[in-house]
Amino acid sequence: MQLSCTPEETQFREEVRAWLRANVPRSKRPRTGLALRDYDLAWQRCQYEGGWAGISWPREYGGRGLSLTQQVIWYEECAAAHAPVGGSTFVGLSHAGPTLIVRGTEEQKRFHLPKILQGEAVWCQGFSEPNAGSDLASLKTRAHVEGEHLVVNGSKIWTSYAALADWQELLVRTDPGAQRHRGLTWVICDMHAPGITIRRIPTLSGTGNLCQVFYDEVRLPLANVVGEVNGGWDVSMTTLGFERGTAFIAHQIHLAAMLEKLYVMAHDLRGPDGRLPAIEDGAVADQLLKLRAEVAALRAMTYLSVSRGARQVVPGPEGNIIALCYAELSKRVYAFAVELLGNEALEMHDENPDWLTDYLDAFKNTIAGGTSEIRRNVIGERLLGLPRGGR
Amino acid sequence: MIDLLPSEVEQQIIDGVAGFLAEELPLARLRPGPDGERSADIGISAEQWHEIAGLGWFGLGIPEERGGAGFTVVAEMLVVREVGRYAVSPSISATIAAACLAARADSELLAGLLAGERRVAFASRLCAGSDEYHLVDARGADHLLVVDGMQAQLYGAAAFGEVRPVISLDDAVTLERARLTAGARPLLQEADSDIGHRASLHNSAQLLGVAEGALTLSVEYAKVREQFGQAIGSFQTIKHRCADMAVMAEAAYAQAFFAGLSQAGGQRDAAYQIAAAKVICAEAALANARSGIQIHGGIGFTAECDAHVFLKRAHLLGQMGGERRWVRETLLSKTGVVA
Repeated sequence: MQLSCTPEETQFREEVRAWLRANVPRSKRPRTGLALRDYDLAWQRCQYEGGWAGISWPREYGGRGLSLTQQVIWYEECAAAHAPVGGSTFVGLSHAGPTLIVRGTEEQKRFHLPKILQGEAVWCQGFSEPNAGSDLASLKTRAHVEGEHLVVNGSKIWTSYAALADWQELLVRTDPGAQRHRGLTWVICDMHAPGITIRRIPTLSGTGNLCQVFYDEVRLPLANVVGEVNGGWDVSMTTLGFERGTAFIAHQIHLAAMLEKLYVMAHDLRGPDGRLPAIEDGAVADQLLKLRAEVAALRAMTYLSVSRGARQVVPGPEGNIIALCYAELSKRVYAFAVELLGNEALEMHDENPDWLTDYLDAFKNTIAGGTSEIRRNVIGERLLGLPRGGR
Repeated sequence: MIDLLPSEVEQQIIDGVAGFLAEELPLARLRPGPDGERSADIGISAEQWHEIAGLGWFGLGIPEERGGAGFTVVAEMLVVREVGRYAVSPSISATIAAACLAARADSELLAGLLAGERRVAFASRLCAGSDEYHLVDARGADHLLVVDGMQAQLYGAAAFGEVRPVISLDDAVTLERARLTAGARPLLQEADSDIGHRASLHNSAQLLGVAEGALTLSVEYAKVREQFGQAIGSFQTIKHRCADMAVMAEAAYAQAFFAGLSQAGGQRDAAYQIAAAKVICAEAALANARSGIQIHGGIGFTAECDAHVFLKRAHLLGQMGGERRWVRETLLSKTGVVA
């Protein structure tokens, strides 16, 4: 075990800090719509021009090819500089790009990877369906081969940013006779192709980026298939492996920054008795110290993931532990924010809409990308070796 | 460079300690015999204590020029984590910490501790401002280590009077109640809080061992115990409980050793990380111990199953160290997380 900082790492941190100070966008990020897309793509383009795009991508595909430790430094400095995280570029940078790098054809890589890095394209995911959520392998959106094309019919749901996206990582059933996991294909879908309609789904947090996508005789070139036809399950597991790997570093660091804001707020706001600062209230202080300890542990768990990442080629099921932990903890942090706000939390006014929206939005954290229940199944079966059973 | 996984040498330390304890002081020693009575012989014998000294456990974190192995507090934590897993005496931790204290001041005492000639036990203050202490597994101890507000003081055993035995909740150790004689002066006292921090890290590492021990016991049982014609671990209620225990154990592992590395490297936020480790490890140990009993069902309620050992040890360790107030103040201080 070790925790040390090489002179190169220190220098790297200073370089990152200086660049971010000069370049992080000052304006507030729009929550939805084309304004959000423009904002995210402009920030991505800025990172590209500064030479910071694709920090975790290999150099041969235009990335920085940085070590995991340097990635951690990058995300820590981004949080300190209040740089935007995630958003509409997330799927391209953290899902589709890495998947193409590992599984795509040369042609696919040459066409798509630069667009992702240069902030010219937004990607969305197309895995879940109305009747295939946790049981993803039961998905029914089908595609058949017609000449040089796949013809797609069906529907995908819970697709974030579908209405803003240019491309989609789409998982379809190409062999209806095959059992569950077999007979699926991972294909790049052009979101502007004829036959696609998009319905926006209002969410409980009021953010409007969630969609359902319908496919009516949508024709996609066979050249867009990633991996083999009927070999899509394997490719999709590669995709999800990336999501649980380094993608979590940014989330964890952002959450830590949010909790520190709450720590400051607890000194400024009045507590439940209306007289003393909230921090003087025993129950508030108890919750705050517990959350601070838990957020500290989440950071240590990130370092443990990084340590594993340095020794593994393919991320193992351990990633589900930190994913589960983050999801549950983030909900508790935002719930604490609402409690701290007291009656103010009942008004969506200018001073606090972010806390309330973040609180409501966090309910998706234990659902999206695998519910907490599914993650517990995976931890139990693949990590602890407990037998599979009824669901 | 961040690495929270054991190196080859560290893995050898873990395997060596676990191998010794599994052979010499297995959890089975705590089970009642056929007559329903437990053997009186459950502590570390004089012979075993010497053997442990010979294995070098007490000097792992002491510089080589002072007769130690030259590792850091992290190596000490690897040892006492196994001590927690086997519900062995916290006096191992007390003796390691006392040796670190002696290494700065008293060569004769240090030599005695490293050779296994002298034993140290913890004296745990009942509450801040009190002169009453719990002496934990202190029978036969030559010295008592007080860790109070993250400052460590080492006393001769005679400094404590009015000693009376009490029945210990954790009956794998003896417990006595005693008063620190007014005006008693410590043999050694530290100026900074390095030993206090070390002792807290030891405490967290033992709690981590408890959390991991309870997890392993429960998972193994869930794989073999059958009801409704299948292993109970195949049911989601049991599986998810086990998964939650695994999450707690991993959080405790990561935070404990990150804190240990922060202390060893003299990081600015070491105290904060150590306080967070105590909170996380104490909660993991208690929660996992409680779940462990439930997962075992009827047998989990008996003394014939080891599940209860973890519960009682979690309570004992959670109270020890006298750092409750310090933990609270540190975690609520402004000098919190530094990026």
